[in-house]
Order: sequence, then C-alpha cells, then structure tokens
Amino acid sequence: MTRLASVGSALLVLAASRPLLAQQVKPLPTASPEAPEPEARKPEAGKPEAGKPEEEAGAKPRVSATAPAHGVDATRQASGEPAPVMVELHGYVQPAFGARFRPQALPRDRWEYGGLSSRAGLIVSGTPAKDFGYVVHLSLDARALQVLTDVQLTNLDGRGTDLALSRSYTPATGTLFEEVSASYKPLSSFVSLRLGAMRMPFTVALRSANTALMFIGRPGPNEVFQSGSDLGGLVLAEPFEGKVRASLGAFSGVSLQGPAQFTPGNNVRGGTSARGLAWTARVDANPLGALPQAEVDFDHGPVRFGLGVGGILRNGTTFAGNGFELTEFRDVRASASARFSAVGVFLQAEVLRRLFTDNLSSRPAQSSGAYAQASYYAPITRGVGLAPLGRVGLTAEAEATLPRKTTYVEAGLALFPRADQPKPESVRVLVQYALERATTDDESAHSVIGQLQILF
Amino acid sequence: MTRCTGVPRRSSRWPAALVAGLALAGTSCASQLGEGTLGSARALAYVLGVPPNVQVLPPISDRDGNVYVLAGSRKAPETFSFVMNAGGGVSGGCNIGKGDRVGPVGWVGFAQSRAYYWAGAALVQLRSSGDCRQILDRDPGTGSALFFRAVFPWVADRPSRTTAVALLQGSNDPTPLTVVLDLNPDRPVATTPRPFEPAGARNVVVLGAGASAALRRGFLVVSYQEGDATRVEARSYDEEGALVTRVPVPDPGQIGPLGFVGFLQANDAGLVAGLTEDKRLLLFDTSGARWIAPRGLDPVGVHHWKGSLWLVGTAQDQPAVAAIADNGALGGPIAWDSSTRILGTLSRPLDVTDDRVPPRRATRFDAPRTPTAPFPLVTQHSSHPYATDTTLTLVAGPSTGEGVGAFTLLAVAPVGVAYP
Repeated sequence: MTRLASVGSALLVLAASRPLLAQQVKPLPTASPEAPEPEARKPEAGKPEAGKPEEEAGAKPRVSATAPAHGVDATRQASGEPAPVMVELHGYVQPAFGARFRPQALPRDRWEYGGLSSRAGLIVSGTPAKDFGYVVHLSLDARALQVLTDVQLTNLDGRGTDLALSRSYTPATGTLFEEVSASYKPLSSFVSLRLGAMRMPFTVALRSANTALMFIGRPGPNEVFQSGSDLGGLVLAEPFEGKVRASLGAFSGVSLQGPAQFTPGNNVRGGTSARGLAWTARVDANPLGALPQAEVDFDHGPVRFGLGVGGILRNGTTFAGNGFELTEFRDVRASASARFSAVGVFLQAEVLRRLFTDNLSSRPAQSSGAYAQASYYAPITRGVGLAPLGRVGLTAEAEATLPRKTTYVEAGLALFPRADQPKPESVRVLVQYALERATTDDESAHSVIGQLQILF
Repeated sequence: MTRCTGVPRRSSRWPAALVAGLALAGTSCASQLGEGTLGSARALAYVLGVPPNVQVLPPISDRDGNVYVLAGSRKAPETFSFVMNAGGGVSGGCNIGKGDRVGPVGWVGFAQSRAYYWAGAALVQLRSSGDCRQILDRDPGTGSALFFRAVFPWVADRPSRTTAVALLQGSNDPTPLTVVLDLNPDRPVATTPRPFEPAGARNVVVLGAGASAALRRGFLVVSYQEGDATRVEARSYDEEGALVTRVPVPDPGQIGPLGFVGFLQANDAGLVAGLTEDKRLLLFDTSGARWIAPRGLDPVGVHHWKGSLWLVGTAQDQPAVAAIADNGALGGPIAWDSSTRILGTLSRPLDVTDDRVPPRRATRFDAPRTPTAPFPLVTQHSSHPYATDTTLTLVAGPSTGEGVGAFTLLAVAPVGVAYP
C-alpha cells in the first residue's frame, strides 16, 4: 500500500511539474462530441496515439505537455508527423452513496449503507517518442484489494497437538493499477503491440472504460467470469478502418479466479500457487462503424451494430507450499456479444461460458451467464439530457456439481447536465436500483445507489 | 473417463489453443463419468480394519470439491475424519466425538469449504484446511455441557448464512430443545430454542433422523414417555426448527436408540423411508406411517438419488436395488449395474495417485477390494452427489498388521452412478 501510494504521489508530482517537461499546453477542447470510433482512430482526426488507453480512445486530455517543436521535432512536424506528447493527464471521480438491503441476512448484515461503489481514477499517458506510448491508470476502488485479515492456528487433530496456520482474505479499499502499459504502434500500420498490466479483452464489457459504463458497475455476470487487470501482452489489429478489431494476447492469469481451491494462497494448508499462461483472443466487427463508447447514443446516430467473440484458454499447474506439483488444470472461457445503436437507443447483450477441469478431481466446474442492457438518450434541452437504463442478467455456476443460479435486475436513470460538452458523460448523475437474487438459495439483495461522475 | 474430465494436454500450441478456445464458445460439455467407471483414485490414509470390515462411511464433498471421509462405527465411540483437498493433499487424523458409546452417526452436510459430522453427542466442523472443532460443546452462557441428541442431516448453505437444525440438550434439561444452529465457522451459535412437544414428555430417545434439502424439512422418529404411555412418533420439522407434523408409528416393536441405519431419506413427494437394524422398512408422510417387509431383497440401506428413494441391498448374492414409489409401493429387486461394474474394475490392479504429501506419485493397488461389505455403493448411507451422475466410493488397498490392530490403506475415487 505504501509503495503504491508513493508511486501514485510521484506520478501526480510528475504530472504537475509541467514547466519542467514542456513549454506548451494544449487548450482545453471545445469541439463537438467525439467522432465515432473509426474516425477517432485516424491520426488526423484525433486518433489516440500508441500510448493512449484503449478504452479511453478518443478522450481528450485536459492537460497535456508536449515536447518543444524545434530541431528534429520541427522537422517532424513540418513533415506532418505528430509531435511527441510527454504527458497527458486525465481522470475521473465517481463518488457514490447508497444502501443495500438483504432481508435474509444476519441482523448485522441486513443493512449496508454509505459510499458504496465509490471510485476514482487518474490516467497519465503519452507518446514520448514516435510510435511508442505509455499509459498509467491508477484507480481507487472500494473493492480493489484482497488483504490478509486473519491468521489462525488450525487444529488438525482436534487435540491441539498438530497445528498449522490458516489465513483469511478480505476485500479492502486500495489503489490499484488498472493499467500500466507501454505500446508500440507504427503510424502506417493497423497493428500495434501493448505490454504491461491491463484488463484482458475477454468480453465487450471489459473493454469499456470505467467512465463509459452504462451503470455504476459492469454487469454482474461479467464480474463472475472475469474481472480486474492482468499482466501480459497484446497484439491488436484494426483493419478495415477500424471496423474490425482483433486482439491476441498472453497473460499471467493472476486475475482468473478459478474454483476456490485453485486460487493461490486460498486456505489450503501451506498455501498453493498456480502457474500457467492465459491465452486470449477477441474479435469485434462493427460493419457500419463504431458504436458509441459511453454505452449511450448521445448523437441519436445512424444504425450501427457490432458482433464479437472472445476466449481465454489457460493450461496450468498448481503447486503446493513446498513447491511440488499438485494438479494440472485447464480453464476455458468463451464469450459472444452483440451491440446495436440507433436514434438514441443503445443495446448490448453478451453470453459467457466457462469450463474448468483438472486431472485429479473428475469434477468439472462449469458455469454459464448472460446479460442484456439497454439505454435511451432523451435530450431535454440543448445542454441537458436524460437516459433511462435497464439491465437483466443471470448466471448459473457449478452447473455440473451443485448448481447455483443468480438473477440480476437493474434499472436506473442517468442525468447529463452538461450534455453539450464534447464528452456528454463528463458530468453524470446516476441513480440505480439493483436486485441480485440467488434463486437456488431463495435469497435476495436490493440496493439503491446514487453516483456523481466527473471526468477531468 | 470422458474427454472433459481427462488430464489436460500440456502440448497445446498457441494456434491450437486459440482454435480450441473459440470452438468451445458453442460447446456445452456436460462431462461425466460413465456408469460404474472410476475417476482418478487418490490415496487417503491407513484406516483401522481389514476388508470387508473396514469401519468407514461413504465420503462426501463440499462446494469446493474437497472430499471428507469419516471412519468409525456407531457402535464404538472412536471417530476419525480425513480431508482430501480438491487441489491436492490430505489432512486428517481428527478424532473428535462425545460420549462413550456412540461413534459417527453420519455426515450432516457441507458448506463452501467445510463439512459437518454428527458423532455421539457431538457436532463437529471439519474445514478443508484440516481444522476440526466441536460445535457448542458447552453452553456459552452457563458453561454446562451440551449434548446433540439429533442433528438433521441438511446444512442450508446460503450466501448470507449457513444453518442447520438440531435437538440440543443441556446437562440439566429434562428434554432436548429444537434449535437453529447458525454455523458461523468461527462463532457458531444456537438460536430460536423451542421446547420439545408435548410439554410433559420424558425420556426422549431419538431412533432415527433425516432431512430433505428439496423439501427444506427435517425428519425424526422419536420415542418418549407421556404419563405412563410410551409413544413412538414420526415427525417433520421446518428449517426454523418448528414442528410441522407428527404421526404415530404403529407397532414399533423394539427399536433401540438410533436404531434406524444410516439416515431417514425423503423423496421429493414428501414420502420418508427408514430401515431399521432388524431390516424393517418404515414409510411415513403427513398422513400416517406404516411398515413394509422387503421381499426378494436383503436390504442394507435407503438411498436418495435425484429426488427418488431406493432400497439397496443384495439379491441372489448380487448388488440390487428396489424402487420406492411415491405412494410407498416397493418395486421388485433389480440388479445394480453401477456396483457390479465397479466390482469388475476392482478385479484388476488399480492405478492410484498418492498425493498425501507432495510431490505426488503414482502407485498401484495390486489387489483392490471393497472396504465394506457387501458390495461397492451398497451402504447404509445414501450416495453423495459429487458431480452430475457421479458419486464417491472407497477402494481398499494393502493392509498391514494383524487382528484388531490391522490397518488398510484406503483410496477415494469418483465413480459414475445410476439408479436403474
């Protein structure tokens, strides 16, 4: 924690030290709403450079520091090449307040209220050299870290003569590297490389930025199948003017939670660890052009739709605390998505599936999930808009063993009081109701949360 | 073993992996073992006894897939429990019980990464880490000893809490109370105590207990004295410990404490069945109770599988089952192929993975046997649903020692099962 905070502070200082890094500051953009995705990818149309975060493509930095235009740089600019950008700084604040009610829970747990789902992020990016870029995206999330909260002596024989340690982990607020990556993208190529810590592009929901989500969080089914950032590399290709977007990647797989006993360090005597590269692939096709990034069709644009499929394959080995092999496993996950937008309507649906097998248990962990969400943007005045939102989803976990089904229903209303800004979602007030019902166990949780989003 | 449960191949290359990943997008792989087919057998521990008289109960598993084994007999107070972690490794040797007469009664249930057993007058929590501890050994308020007279074998494991229902009696209580146990792994507590009904009852003796997760009910066959009369009743309780129905058991005969073998079992229609040690079959529901004498089948226990009831035993020296219909009619005995096929597998040497202490190694049982009489799966306790159409079975390997001091190495294996 201390180290992360130090790094974050250093980055803040770095970003704030503009005079040392640059002599020129770009004015704040006042242009019309950002262009659709294919347009945004053209360098001359404000295309994100190699270092720009994928999900923030098209976002305009509020502060940027570029290198001086003289010498070689002057020559470069004269030839039409973009000037290096040492630092671009932007981010978001998403405070939230709400309450959650679980009628079947213990009295202590029935009501939970406060700053649920509050989040903030700071994004530093740049293209300090031709074709090379970087992104550092720090986020502060209420569920960012798993911290060791309890260590107990385990009584292995009931007599107290054979003791071992058992550990408990609890989610805690903390700073997290949402993305720390370096990229290489030749200007004339539609292929780019990216290395570092980032979200795997497994589902379409994971590709969306934290600030572009229709609701406060990503769909519940999506979070069941994959969440968080991972360490690895990606090859991205965007041929046909960006209408097709494909990625191939290899990651360490640390974000892929498996069955509990295969989650490293999870309470197995002596602790375990899992090793094995996670290979990822995703292809998205948007034949009529890119869809709105913010999951709301602010422009009441033409008909556009997109189809996508993604997959993760991980063959790995778990190791005991003493370093020897325990099991070999295979974790396969697949997703397929469809999106549609036109005249203010935005629809998105996705199905997910997962199969986890190992060479020891003959007990496959098999799960399925799906969700669909929709929004409609209704401008009230030139500068104010409203968007009713809706989402339903379901998951069926442990289908081959002890099936546990959960349904999700969410409804919300988003207010955009600065809809005439280049990014209408720069200021958003969202109120949402969410029902999560464990149908197998006949339990439910209700929550009402209000969130203010400010992008900077 | 089907391809879905097989050993993952490690030679996959990137293009193949990609293709496989995408191909699986539309795959619905309901992988399962074939009927009577053994999965990977894993060495467990040396357990007292020699086949076919090793005293051990059929294993169960928790949500995480950890496997729990309980060794001992109701007729002797010694109880030993073992945990076989789904991710590899074995913990064990825990021997918590209570009292000097009754050993393990059976598995009560499981939660995410722990299981519960009832032994003597004790309820014991066993964690996947191997940690074992007695639940409510003493009254936290008064410090007086507590005795579990019955525990309904169903742990309601929900996202918000884990509960069970039991009959709990303090050392100074004349009759047991029905309580809901909040099975917080670190701080279990008994809530909503309800007195035994009728109020004037004395000498309450539990003859048999059972439960149904589908019906959310617990069942009890109990005898007690009311005035000068001795009554025997079949009862059902809801998940809050409230008495729902009680019907008299006609002509109970001589049934001792815990005189029903295994647990009482219920089908999804609400019919409850229990087999006594003297091989009489009791059936009851909300309308009444009656006895049935099994014909053509030497019964061993009553099993519940996929919502139906089966009387399992032997017929003509072969494993057999007889269906118990919703109306209580007992079908004729049918040969049980699942058990027969396991016997066939055990007629050959069996490869066993020994991962009790890493590194794991392959070993072999040259003459594998069924540890308990008479046949595989033919047990007093119902088969545990480990995965789709799959349960767990025990296989006996080499024995060491002689006489009452002989021990046998046991292995646990998943096995495909079907009730005909």
